[in-house]
Order: sequence, then C-alpha cells, then structure tokens
Amino acid sequence: MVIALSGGVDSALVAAIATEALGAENVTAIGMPSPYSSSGSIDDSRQLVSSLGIRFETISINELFADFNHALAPLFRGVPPDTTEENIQPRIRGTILMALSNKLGALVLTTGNKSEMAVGYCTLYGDMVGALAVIGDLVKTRVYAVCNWLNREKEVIPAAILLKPPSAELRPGQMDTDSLPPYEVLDPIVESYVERYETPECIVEKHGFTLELVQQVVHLIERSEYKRQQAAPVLKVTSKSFGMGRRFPIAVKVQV
Amino acid sequence: MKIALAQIDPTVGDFTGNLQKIVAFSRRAADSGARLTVFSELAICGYPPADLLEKPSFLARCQTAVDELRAATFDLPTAVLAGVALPAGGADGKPAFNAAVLLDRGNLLLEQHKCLLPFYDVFDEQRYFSPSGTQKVIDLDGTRLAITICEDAWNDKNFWPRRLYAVDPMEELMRQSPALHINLSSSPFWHGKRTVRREMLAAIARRDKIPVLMANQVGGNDSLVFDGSSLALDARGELIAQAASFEEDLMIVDPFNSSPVPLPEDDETEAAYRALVLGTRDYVR
Repeated sequence: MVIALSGGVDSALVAAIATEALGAENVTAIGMPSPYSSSGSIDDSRQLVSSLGIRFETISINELFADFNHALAPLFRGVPPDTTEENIQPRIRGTILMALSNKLGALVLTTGNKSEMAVGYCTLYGDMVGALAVIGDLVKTRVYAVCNWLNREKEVIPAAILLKPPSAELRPGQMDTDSLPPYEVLDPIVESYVERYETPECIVEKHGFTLELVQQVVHLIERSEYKRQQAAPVLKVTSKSFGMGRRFPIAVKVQV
Repeated sequence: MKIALAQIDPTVGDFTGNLQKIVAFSRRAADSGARLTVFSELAICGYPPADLLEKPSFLARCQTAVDELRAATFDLPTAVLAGVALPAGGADGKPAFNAAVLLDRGNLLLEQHKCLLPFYDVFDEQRYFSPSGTQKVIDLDGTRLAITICEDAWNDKNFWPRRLYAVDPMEELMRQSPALHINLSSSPFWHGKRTVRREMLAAIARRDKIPVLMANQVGGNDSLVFDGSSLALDARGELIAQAASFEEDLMIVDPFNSSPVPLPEDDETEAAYRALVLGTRDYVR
C-alpha cells in the first residue's frame, strides 16, 4: 500500500495501522515536501518510518508546483494567490500517489479524518485520492487518542508529531486554526450535528459555544456534501459515519 | 449439551473459501465434543452481499453451497447451523430470504428465515429480502432450540424506548417453549456497540428465562467492520463466555451448566484501532 506522509498525526496513524494490517514489507510511504513544508515534516516522517520499519521515498513538488503556476499565470494575471494555489499542491501529490499506485500495483490509503471530511477541509482529487479512507470516521481528537493509546508502552508515533500544532502547510506559517475552530471545539460540534442530528441551538446549550460559531460549522458541513460523495469508502467505527449509511442530498438548501 | 460458536471471517462471494472455513471449524468443534456448531448470519455467502442478491446466479451458487456443506459434514457428530441467502420468489417480489440452515448428518433439519429486516443506516435488507412468515422451534436431541437471525432479537419492547417493528418474532417462538435461544448475527462494530449488544441480549435472556447464544461475524467488508465478540448468556442474563474481538474464534460452551464470568472492560480506543487494522487488512486481501 502507498501512503503519503506529511509529518502530521493523521498520516502517521494511517501508516501505523497499515503496517500492523499488512506487514512493514507491504507499505510504501512517500514524503512530498513543498516550499511551505516545515523541516519537521520530513524529519518527523523519517523518525516514524524508522519506528515502523517501512520503505520511505521523497519527491519534492517544488518544480512541479512552479510549472503549474507558470502555466496558469496568463489565466490568473492580476488575481492574487488564494486557495487555488494551495489546492494545486495536494493535487500534484495526488497525481504522484496514483502514479506510484499504478507502478507498484498498490492501493493508496487516504489519510483524511472525520473532522476534515465534515467541514470539507480537504482537497478533491488531491489528498482525497485513494482506495480507502482508513481514519475517515475518527474526529481529530480521537485520532490523537488512538495515537496516545498506541504509544502507551513504547513510542510508535514520534512525540514531535503529536506535539506540533496541526497545519496543512499549504502557505507560509499556515495553521488549521486559521480556517477552523480548534479541534476541541470543532469535534463536539461535528459529533453532535453529524452523529446525533442535534440542532445548532441544542449544541449551543450543551457546549456553551456561540450560535454564530456553531452555525458557521454547520454551514461548512452542509456545503461539503458534494466532496464527501466523491470520497473513498470510510471504515465505520461510530454509529454514524460518512458513506453508505448517511445519505443526504447534495443540491439542497438546508434551513434547519 | 456442548455448543460451539464459530466466529469466522468470511469474504463476500468467496463460496469456496467460506465453505472451507465452515467445514474446518465444524471439524474442530466436533473434536471438542460439540453437538452443534453455530456460524454467523450469511456465513456461507458473506455479509453483506448487497446487489449480488439481485443476481439469480449468485442465489443459485448459495443453494449449491448448502448442498456442498451438507456433503462435507454428513460424517460429523456435530450439527451445523449457518446463515445463507436463498431464493425467495414470493408475492412481494423480493429475490431472497436471509436464511439459517440446520444440517445434521446430511439432513436439512430446519430452514429458518429472518423476520425483521433492518433498513436504517448501513442496512438495506428490505431492498432484497422477503421476511419470514413463521418461526419454528426445532428439537435437537431433546433440546428445543429457538433460532433467530440478528435483528430478530433486536425488537424487545421493554429494552428499546422506540421499537422499529410491530412484531417480535421471539414472542411466537416462546409460545413453543424453547429451552435455548440461538442467534446468528452479522452485527457491525461501532463505538460502544459491544456493551449494547450484551445488555440487550441479557435483557432478552432474563425476559424469556432461557440462555441466549449469539454467533457474530468477524472481519471487514468495505466500510463495515464486524467485531465478532460472540456471546453466551445464561437464563438469568449473566455472561458465561464472550469470544475474541476482531479475530476469528471458536468458543465451546455448555449453556445449561456454566458459571458466570466477569464482564470484560471494553476499551473503545483500543477497539477503534483494532477495527481499523482489521478493516484495512480485509479490504486489501
């Protein structure tokens, strides 16, 4: 199997699960740093693959990214960089992953978690490529809980991976909290709204978040349905996971 | 009476592989002195087969698989109870029954169909299956067995605040005075499910005052992961044995002569990890 390692906690856990599931000899990890990757993204990945005993390759996407920007420049003249340029990076990585998948005859395991899939903090045809969404039913705080459980006796997932603040590293200094509430806030909202069908008012009452914040998250969840319906199958570990057991319309105006 | 709960990891559509497992587990159970070996819901064809059930060729293969199993186990001292889809062709237009067949020394003693067909969340059984019309208790060496399939045991009006079905097939079975309730399940894992299953079946054992045995599927099928955790509860609803979670197991119990065991502590974080490992392994295999 092929897994993209970002140096973050999600891909680290998927690599650990894949290694236990199929043996280290059947797992290939690949790091694909960009100009915005922190030095830790590769160093921490190296430490992880040595702990797991899996093959690790790296391919820089710097030149490919520059080529895309150059090719698109005439179309984008006068338009400032935005999410478009951010999304090109995971899409380059997705193409490399699928090339490896073809050449090695190995499935790609996609590494998105339930919090990201809920609010659409993921890139279609980018980091969403793959044959199976291994941790797509674990919200981010549960991803950490499972990693800490894995580390209960010896350090399988390097501490540096668990300690760094979550970042997509798609622009300089980017943090998940630039776009999203902290996961300690986001996850209870996702669980309440997706798994228990609670109303924003009920979530506010239960958790003490502002109505405005809860409504923003609910809006993100509703407008991401088109992404989720194109996602890899998710391994179900909660009473309501994304996928076959949760069927919502895409072209809809939700007013509840 | 010793009964084996055979918790196997079948693959949907792999009749040859599934039958090999069923025969191998039956032989092991017979060697341990079991008079009956119970497999999970749709163990012969794997659960869930989804739209494969709309193919007549798939249902025909299910039927020949039952014949093959009968031939492969006729010389064993254990009877074999296993789930399989069988063609229906009734007035409701549904292609199949979700059935359990009881084979003993080459004879088909009982073909029981599932009555309650779940249709929520990941379940879509009313799309394919015709419900059972009657429930029949069967006698095996003087022990009267009530055989239900998964959801048939999930409609106790005292346990659930809101029932999903108007009928409870256990009521019809209890009027025939069974001594033992055997449930074939393919009940997928999710957070907290093992506790719910244990408490619900314990409530049924207490209500009916007979032991309950439940053989559950283990393994991953696409998005679903089945945890196994097959159960044996005595007539007071006390746990007498629980099979392994997230791996195959063969658990031999005497439901009438066993002492209660302490309830296992379900670590849901560990369970999530093991579920994802199993789901990944079986998806790729």
